[in-house]
Amino acid sequence: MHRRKLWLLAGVVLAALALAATGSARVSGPDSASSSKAGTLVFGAEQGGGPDWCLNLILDVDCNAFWNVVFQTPVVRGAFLFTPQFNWKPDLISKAKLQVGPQRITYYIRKNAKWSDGTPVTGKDWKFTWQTAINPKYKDHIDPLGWEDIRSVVGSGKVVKVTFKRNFAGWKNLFSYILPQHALAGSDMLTVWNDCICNPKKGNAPIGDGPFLLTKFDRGSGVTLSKNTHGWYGKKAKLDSIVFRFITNTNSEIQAIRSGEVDAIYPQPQLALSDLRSQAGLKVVSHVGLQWEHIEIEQGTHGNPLAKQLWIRRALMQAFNRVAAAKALYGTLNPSVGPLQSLVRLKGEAGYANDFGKWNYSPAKIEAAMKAHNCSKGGDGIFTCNGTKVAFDFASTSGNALRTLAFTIFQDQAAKAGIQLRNAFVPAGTLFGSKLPAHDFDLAMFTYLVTVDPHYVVATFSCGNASNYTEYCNRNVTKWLGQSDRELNPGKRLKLITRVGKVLSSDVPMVPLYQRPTYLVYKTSVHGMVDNASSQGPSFNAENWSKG
Amino acid sequence: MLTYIIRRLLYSIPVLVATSFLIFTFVSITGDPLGRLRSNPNITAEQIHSIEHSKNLDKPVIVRYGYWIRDAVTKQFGTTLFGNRKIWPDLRRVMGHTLQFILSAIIISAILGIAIGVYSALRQYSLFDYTATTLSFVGFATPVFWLALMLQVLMVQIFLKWNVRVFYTSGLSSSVNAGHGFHFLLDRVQHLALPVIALCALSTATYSRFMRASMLEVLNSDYVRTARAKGLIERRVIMRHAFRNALIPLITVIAIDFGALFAGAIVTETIFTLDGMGFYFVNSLFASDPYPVMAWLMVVATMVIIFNLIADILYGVFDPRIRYE
Repeated sequence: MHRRKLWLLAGVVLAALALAATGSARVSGPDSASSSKAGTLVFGAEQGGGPDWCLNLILDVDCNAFWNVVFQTPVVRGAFLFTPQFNWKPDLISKAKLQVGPQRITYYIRKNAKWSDGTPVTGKDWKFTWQTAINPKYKDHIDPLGWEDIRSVVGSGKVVKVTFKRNFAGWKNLFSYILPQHALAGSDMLTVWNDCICNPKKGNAPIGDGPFLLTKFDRGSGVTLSKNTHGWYGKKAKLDSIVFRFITNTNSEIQAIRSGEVDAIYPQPQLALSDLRSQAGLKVVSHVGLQWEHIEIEQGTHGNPLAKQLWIRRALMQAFNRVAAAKALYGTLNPSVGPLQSLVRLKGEAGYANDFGKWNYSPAKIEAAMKAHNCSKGGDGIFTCNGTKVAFDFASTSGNALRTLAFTIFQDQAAKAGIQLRNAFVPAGTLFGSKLPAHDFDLAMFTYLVTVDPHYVVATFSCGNASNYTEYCNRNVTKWLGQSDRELNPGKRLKLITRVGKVLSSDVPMVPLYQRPTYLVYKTSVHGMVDNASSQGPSFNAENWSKG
Repeated sequence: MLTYIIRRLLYSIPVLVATSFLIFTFVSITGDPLGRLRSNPNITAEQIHSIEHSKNLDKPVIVRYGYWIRDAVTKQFGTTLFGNRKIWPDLRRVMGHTLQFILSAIIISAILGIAIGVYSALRQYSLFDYTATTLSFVGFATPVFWLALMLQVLMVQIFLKWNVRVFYTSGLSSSVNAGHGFHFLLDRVQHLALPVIALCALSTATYSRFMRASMLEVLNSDYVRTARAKGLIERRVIMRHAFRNALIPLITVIAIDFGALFAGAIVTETIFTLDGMGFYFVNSLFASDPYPVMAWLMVVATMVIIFNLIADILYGVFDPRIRYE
């Protein structure tokens, strides 16, 4: 009797649990809304919430992570916004007027641009942002590039004039994140916005000048944005809230959208993503983005001495079948990914040219060049020149499946052309921490994440610059790059940059490979979502997102 | 007993110091916390040098270890390298989450393991015994990451075919409308179910094998034979004389397991994105920030020492033959 009662009790408990579970589960597959509350969209975020994570984007050394930009673009706006077409679009301003001699930018702030507490966005906020950026207290936390070139910021109303001490061509990168002066004056910027985007003078009430406010930051769990009901300069958001949920494992992220736990994801490219294309109820959008993969060829004393010779670098250029590699790596995910043909501009940007298109995979041409330089093929099929085997150590970051696959492909291609590549993969910390800064490599494959502005080219290719890991040096290139950094006429600046691009394609200091594609996956029940493959990310138009 | 405990605790101090120094050294020399800055072409070498200097990264490891010890003792493990965030509140949060996770897993594993182990021993060489033995070895041999991924795919998709959400694949609670009271509890159970099942597979296999072996040993002992000879009914012989004594070694195994699992089932927590100790550790390691890694290590090492000590004490409590001097 006693045992029977026990079984009965267990049965009742199980039945109750099952009923409760199914009763509470209003969630179904990807076709339906995953959020039990209408008007809330759940977005899987691949980064965020770690112990080091901080929200304050003005501290770009500490907090400038791509996902931070995604979380905050709908909350804190700037002068300009990157569009999906890789253009600048006035955001908080209606227009900006550029004058030269000295360089002066007049920003016309939108009349209806205001903070969520009703305070208008004014020149005071511009000035406060600049003063914060050049404050010596934050010198190790904020990249001073461009900020230190500013002489003054004048204007406390809707018109603000920024005068420069010397020309700074990348001025549109500045003021991309405007701080609320009335809320943050007197606060310690190193701590004030670590866990919230809020007004410390009003009991940490959320503050913003975009369509949403950051109302909750659960470290280790997610970020919640709620509709800015006080209004902003644009149209009101359609959604009540957006929850960015931290799912840092890509496989789990894929599973989460498959099972309908999240409405959208924006993962790093992975072969497993290809399955999502065929899943009903999901839409996959992919574009080439601003992360570009390349191989650096070290030409200094620590590198392979052979690489100092131009003809060897050109031979290397012809030893990689970049078309085949791009197809093998990304063909199923995004068939439009092809080889990148420029080192100074990316596909989709103005000025992109087919500079490297002249170099195709050609073992025959390599053989001819080798023979012309009295090199002979050994029994293993690898050339030897003056007693030195044409073999290179190929460094990259270990633990990255796509890079390992890329190396395997390149190694095979190069071997067929008589050039040996040896695996020299190391942990990312070692590659970026010691190998690259010490120029201690033969070939190194990694990714640059760049902005639309071509300023990064200056550091990468100028003679003697610490960021020029290849130690490539061409005085003309350095001169033109220096001029480009101070050239305020966009057309003339682009001409200088593209001229450099042509020279680089002859000098071959690097092998441009391909731009990595972005993947925006969302339910078909979600509307208004657009992939922005620039560094702005997909939340640039969050006010247009809706569900139903 | 008290002297024994104090002596054990004192012994653990040099162990903790040596461990912390070794780990600090390894973390410091293998990772580069400024790696992500170096790969950014817009950040100059001068800036990076300046940051290195301001964060003492240009100092020898031994000096940095000294700074860390000072902060750990006087400032509750100090702050993270970037963002100047206090480490202890975060660590406390993830400890709470991991506790929920491993407590559930250990309780379920222990109940299942004991039940299977006892029944297998009582029905030695029966069909049940063979099946349980085979399944235990399958449990031992199954990689947790594989099982976790399979559970995510199968358990969720199967129920979704009927438009029913029983399990979640990530997180500790729903992003939207996690609810309060019973609904919150249910939501938490739905989120923790799959990771707990994944963790239980190995633990149940271990406990059931332990319990079976222990039970068999006791069942063949003289005092059980005596109990039977006295004419006690079988249930009383099993429950009062055999089961209780067979439980002793398992209790110590569970106590030691608890300490070890407190480090967070790193793989399980990563796959299910659980904001626990393992996930915290992985995040800190990826950021190459030695300070949260060190804080994590010290907490884990302390827990392992404490639970090892508890295991030893429990052994003495349950087994009257053991005496500590």
